[in-house]
Amino acid sequence: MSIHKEASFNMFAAQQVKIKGDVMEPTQHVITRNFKTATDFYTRHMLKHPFLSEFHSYSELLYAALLEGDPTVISYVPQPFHLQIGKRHYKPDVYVLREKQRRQVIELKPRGEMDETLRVPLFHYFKKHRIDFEVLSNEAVMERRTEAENWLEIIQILVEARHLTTTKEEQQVWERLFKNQGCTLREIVDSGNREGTYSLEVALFRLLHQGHVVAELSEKSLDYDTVFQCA
Amino acid sequence: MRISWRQQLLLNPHLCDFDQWPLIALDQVPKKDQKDFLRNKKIVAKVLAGHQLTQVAKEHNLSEGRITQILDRALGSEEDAPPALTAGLIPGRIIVKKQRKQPLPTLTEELGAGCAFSALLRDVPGLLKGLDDVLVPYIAEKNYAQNISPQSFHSEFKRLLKEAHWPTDTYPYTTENTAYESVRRYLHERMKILVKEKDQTKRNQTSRVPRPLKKTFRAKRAVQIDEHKLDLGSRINLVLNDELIPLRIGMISVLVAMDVDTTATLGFWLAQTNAPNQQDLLALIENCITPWTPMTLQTPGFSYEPGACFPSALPDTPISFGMTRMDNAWIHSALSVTHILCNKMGGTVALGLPANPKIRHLIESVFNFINKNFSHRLPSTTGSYPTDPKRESRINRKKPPVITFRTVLEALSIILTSYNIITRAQLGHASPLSLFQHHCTNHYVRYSPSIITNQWQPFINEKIVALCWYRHENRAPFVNFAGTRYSGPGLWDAVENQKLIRIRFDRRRIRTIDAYTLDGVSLGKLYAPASWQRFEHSRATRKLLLKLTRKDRLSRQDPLSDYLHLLLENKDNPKDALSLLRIFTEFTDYQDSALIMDGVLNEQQSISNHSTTTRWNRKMANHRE
Repeated sequence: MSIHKEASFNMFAAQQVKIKGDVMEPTQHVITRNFKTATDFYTRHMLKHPFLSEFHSYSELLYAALLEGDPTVISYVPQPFHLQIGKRHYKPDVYVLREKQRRQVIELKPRGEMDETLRVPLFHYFKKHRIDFEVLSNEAVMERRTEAENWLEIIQILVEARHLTTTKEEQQVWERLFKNQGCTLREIVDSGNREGTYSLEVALFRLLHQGHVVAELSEKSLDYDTVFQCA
Repeated sequence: MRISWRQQLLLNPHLCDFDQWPLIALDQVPKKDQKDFLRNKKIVAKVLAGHQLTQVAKEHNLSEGRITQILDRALGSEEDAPPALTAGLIPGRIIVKKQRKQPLPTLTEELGAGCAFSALLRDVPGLLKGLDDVLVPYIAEKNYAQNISPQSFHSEFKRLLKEAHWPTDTYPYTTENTAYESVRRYLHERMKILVKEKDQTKRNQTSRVPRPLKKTFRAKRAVQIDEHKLDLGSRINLVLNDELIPLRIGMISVLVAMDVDTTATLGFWLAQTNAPNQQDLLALIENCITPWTPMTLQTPGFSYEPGACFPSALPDTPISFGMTRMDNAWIHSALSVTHILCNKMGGTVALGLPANPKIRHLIESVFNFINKNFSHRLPSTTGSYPTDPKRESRINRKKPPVITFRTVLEALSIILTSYNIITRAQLGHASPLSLFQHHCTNHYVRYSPSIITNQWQPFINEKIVALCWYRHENRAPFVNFAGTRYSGPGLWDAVENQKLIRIRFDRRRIRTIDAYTLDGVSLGKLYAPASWQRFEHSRATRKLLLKLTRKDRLSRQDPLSDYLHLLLENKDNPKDALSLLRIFTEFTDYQDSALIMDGVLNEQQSISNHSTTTRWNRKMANHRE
């Protein structure tokens, strides 16, 4: 009983910690060169955050890839805010905007363990701004590694071909998938003539990214036998 | 409580099988003890096989009591400790940690100092903890920690004894040097343990999420890139005033890119410097994505192995980079590098954790391959470290090496392409190149069509700049770029209604740049000032020369010629000779003639022609060629 009392007292104290920062406009905060060399640094161009995005660990990169593959996610911003909690500076890992849901701020931590003196004030601070604050474990992300790596590959293809117009091809692919109740990648992409079927390939991945088409990507890496179906 | 050998066998019946005991080879035992060790083994094996003790004792001409002693030594143990087993059969081997049972010696009663120090640590209250309190902050590198030496540690030891009010007539005060030697030995042993513990804790704290075994093996999935300074001296031949001068050049660097899953080398770039810059890295990327064609080999005896090539030479397999793993050198995080790898190819740049080269072990293994097969085999090698016996001898060091820059280039081309056709056990006895081809034909591998790859020009950059025009000075409009003003006739068309324009430039050739309005209408070529028109040069060279000009080491009228002259004056210095080669290659616009400085030479191609027309005709400096 006494432990509970003490815990609730600490929590109360934690709620009183002053947090400075602006959470109205989530913008990626670029890190300094020294910090870049000190972390497991990754950078790449994404689609739902259509700029050069920076990630400070492999788990963060994979999580961003999973957000790309989630059709309910409208957009996300890595390192969205720079907050000052007491004397400590803090940048959350990712800000997520989903369809018909409250905004989320996600922090990725090993084993999902975060310092309570940080977590509690952050939770209340974001609650005040009608944002959900969640701590996810790196392990949970790593468990979906195959799926995330498949999405990284797909995103790379789509970023590479971002200036290509494929409206007509998207219609063609959709019709073919609808008519045949699903197709393998081999049926859409001609392995002997990749150049000729490149537009169809991009169209298929665009439909997949938009959530109009689904595919099993969590078990095996993307290959010619991967089946695509209408959502 | 101690367990006898009979009780041990009842508790652990599996010990009855002598074959299950740990094996100690006879040659690991001191020669003088080998005979007795073998006898003890025979005795234990017989007893475990069910022979009677009396009979065994008789066979070996020993008493029954001695047989029991031998068995107890091997099988007997304390309750909470495992038995010594085979180790207990080695005569004289210490199997029980010695402890002092007698009281510590005093001035009146000298009992010997055997195991007295460990007894002291055990008996004196707070001594063990006090000594650890001295050592732990020192190992943790705390700012308040004392620097520990055996002497200072011994002083701390004496202080702790005094604080514990240890009687001054008892050990260690009975010895001449107050147990100094024991304290010294304890210090070293304890330090080892504490350092190991610290490393272990550090490792546990820094350990990342254990990544599951990699399932995806696919060509072009990940690439590793790194630079390596070749452990080799080479030379260039300089023709000056019709005289052939061989010059030793400094150590050159090789940049290699490698596909991780197939272990195929994608390409290389030989940087004529020991500190490559972002332009060298871009050159490597360009080499990897451009279809490879074999070099025209000029060195006698050199030839490519049949079928050896880089993957870019394979038909219908354009190379693109997925996850590019590099170390966190500053050239790797250059904007021009991220622009080509991330914005144009859509890939990921991974700079990795600091001081973790093992993450990129593959690329390091390629450098080892180069060293073993090439650079360490030549007499002009510098070896891997200053005292390497392979290092070039002092006599040879006075002369330029036999091997030329051109030969190094050709040799690397041959070695790295042949690396791709060596079959490897870890690839299922396939060669990297055949595996790469197999992946591209049989699996879904990212493909980039020519419409996209044509846009990948690593050296071509674009920038939006302000269009300036000081009307009141009656001067032509200009833009600022690379530390100078560029102007051209096309700017007059835009000067009335454009404040910003787009420029397009090649990093290797910035004498002229192309200008466009923001709508994409061409404004023609813009020219650098006349002082920068003498030779073709890169952006990196411009930056260096501007720096030297600011320090007044070069004239502002013709910095390019002045720099060439400066290098020619100091040509005997290997570093300057290397810079000379690099600059000359740039000034001759990367044509093959740039390499005439080594290999076969003719007068028309020689640097002397350039130097006579440029260096000694200063009047030309202010005029466009």
